[in-house]
Amino acid sequence: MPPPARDEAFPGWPVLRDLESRERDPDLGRRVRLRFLALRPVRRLLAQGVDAVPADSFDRQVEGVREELGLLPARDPERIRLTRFLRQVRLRTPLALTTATLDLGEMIEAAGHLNGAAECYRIALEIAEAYRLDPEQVTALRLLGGIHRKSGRWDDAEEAFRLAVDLAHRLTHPQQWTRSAEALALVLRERGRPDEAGRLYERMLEHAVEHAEPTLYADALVGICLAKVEAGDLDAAIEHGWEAIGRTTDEAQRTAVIHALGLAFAGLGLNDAAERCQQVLADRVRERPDATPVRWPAPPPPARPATASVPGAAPPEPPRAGPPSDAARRIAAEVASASDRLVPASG
Amino acid sequence: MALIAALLPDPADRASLTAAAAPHDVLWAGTWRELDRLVRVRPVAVAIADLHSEARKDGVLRVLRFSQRFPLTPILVWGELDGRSLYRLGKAGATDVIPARDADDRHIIIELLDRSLGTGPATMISERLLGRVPEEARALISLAAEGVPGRIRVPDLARTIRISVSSLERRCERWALPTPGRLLLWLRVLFGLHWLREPGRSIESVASQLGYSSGAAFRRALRATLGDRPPPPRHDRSFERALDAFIAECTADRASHGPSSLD
Repeated sequence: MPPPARDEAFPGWPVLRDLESRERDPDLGRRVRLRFLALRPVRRLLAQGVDAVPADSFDRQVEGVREELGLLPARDPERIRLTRFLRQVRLRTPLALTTATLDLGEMIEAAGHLNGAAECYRIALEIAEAYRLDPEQVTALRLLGGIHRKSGRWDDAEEAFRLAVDLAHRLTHPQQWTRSAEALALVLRERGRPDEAGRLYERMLEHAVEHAEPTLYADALVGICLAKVEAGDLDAAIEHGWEAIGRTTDEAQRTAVIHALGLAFAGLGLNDAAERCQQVLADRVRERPDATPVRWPAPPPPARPATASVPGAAPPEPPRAGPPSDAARRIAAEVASASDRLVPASG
Repeated sequence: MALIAALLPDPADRASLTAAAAPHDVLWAGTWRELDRLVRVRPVAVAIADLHSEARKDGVLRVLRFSQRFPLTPILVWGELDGRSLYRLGKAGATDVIPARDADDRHIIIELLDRSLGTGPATMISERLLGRVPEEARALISLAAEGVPGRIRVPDLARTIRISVSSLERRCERWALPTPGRLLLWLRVLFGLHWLREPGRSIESVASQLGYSSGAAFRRALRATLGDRPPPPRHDRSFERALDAFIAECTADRASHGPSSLD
């Protein structure tokens, strides 16, 4: 039997989809069932109205779910999170319901169960929309976009992030806007639209200047560097990347930028600098083989026609461009002369 | 008042449902087969079944077969439901579930019943009439529609709103509606076409439920409302087309006199 669409299945069923091909896993079955039961009181308030459900009936329902948590070991992290979730749900305010459901979604997502996480985010979004909790709507949209992205639903991901960006912009909520814009830019790059991503990063840069946010400024520079490499604008990539290296202390970002710089230098024929970047990267891997994986994805091959194809499908090749600018040459010379700027920020 | 068909072997569950179902009537089945039969021969608006009502029978499979035979009749599944069952029930077409812990909560059962009962032809007709006929007229038609499964007649309808048959006729005339008799004829046709969208029903059983002596009598009713060449009763679009025609007949005079005649 194929799975039904969300609006054709009974309410909350999508949480159970995480059992697909694992129906006979008793532990997962227990957990997924508890998540489904835990969300039922929330769905009930959403459907009937937060104040319309009789208090004793609601409390009994929540208590019933709490008792079922005994199926999990006492110190089980999920049991602890679900207990906390139910405690928040009992407050019966739209804000408590929304934040609790988002939190539950993040727990489920961390466990790798995307269907359950997506359902939590959708429910939270519905509550936030119904009760005009705009900041929570942005958060829910962004988290939902992340799920779509992980699931390869690129159109849905882009739409969710765009809605988040637009709403955050209308709310003039800087932090929400930044996080949403960052997420959207990443999807645009992954969809082979680095020019659009670059423009968004440039807006982030302006935003960072306006709100005096150095961390955001560095993040935006990193993003512009990577987007420019992907777009084939290697001189700009080098300039922005070099500035980013000087501003960010995040090791994953630095690694991504060094990798991008290496590609850009190679594309412009600045081979000594390119080799230096490769050396630095190799040293990092040797020194810290268990280092945190790069947060920013390695830049895909640049300068190809933008299509909405599956990201990362093209084979890796260094970009090719005209002669390097004076600024690029100057930076390459600095890099090739074993500049300390490329070494880890911590040492 | 609607008809609910229920397969609940446990006496406590039956008591729980009876308490929550009022003012609706409950028909009790002893087996899945009997539940099927009830839905086939009676104008049941929603079915409820304990997943484990029959030992050694896969309840989820029974739900799947039910939803394939009666795709428009909501089925609520009741009982101890583990993760795997819940997952499979969603794929099988269950409309909703009533976990054992919720089974003695009257409010929860009422909420689920109300949601399920709000998906039938009476609701569809009422929603289509919204804003197109006076509210009092819409209320009358809704009342009549709810009475169709109970084989409501014109005198019953008049009695329900505490007026005489002649007063009822005058009201229909004032609202530019069809006569009460034709109104009920239309509603029976619409219900019949709605039910015939379900493969588990036959024209004979539907005709009988509507109070006709035979399938042929029901076909005559189709011709009386939809013309000499009515669409095939089981065709996908037959109900929609009939509903369009009914709405047109209810609003025809209004259309020719302009919007002011809504009052």
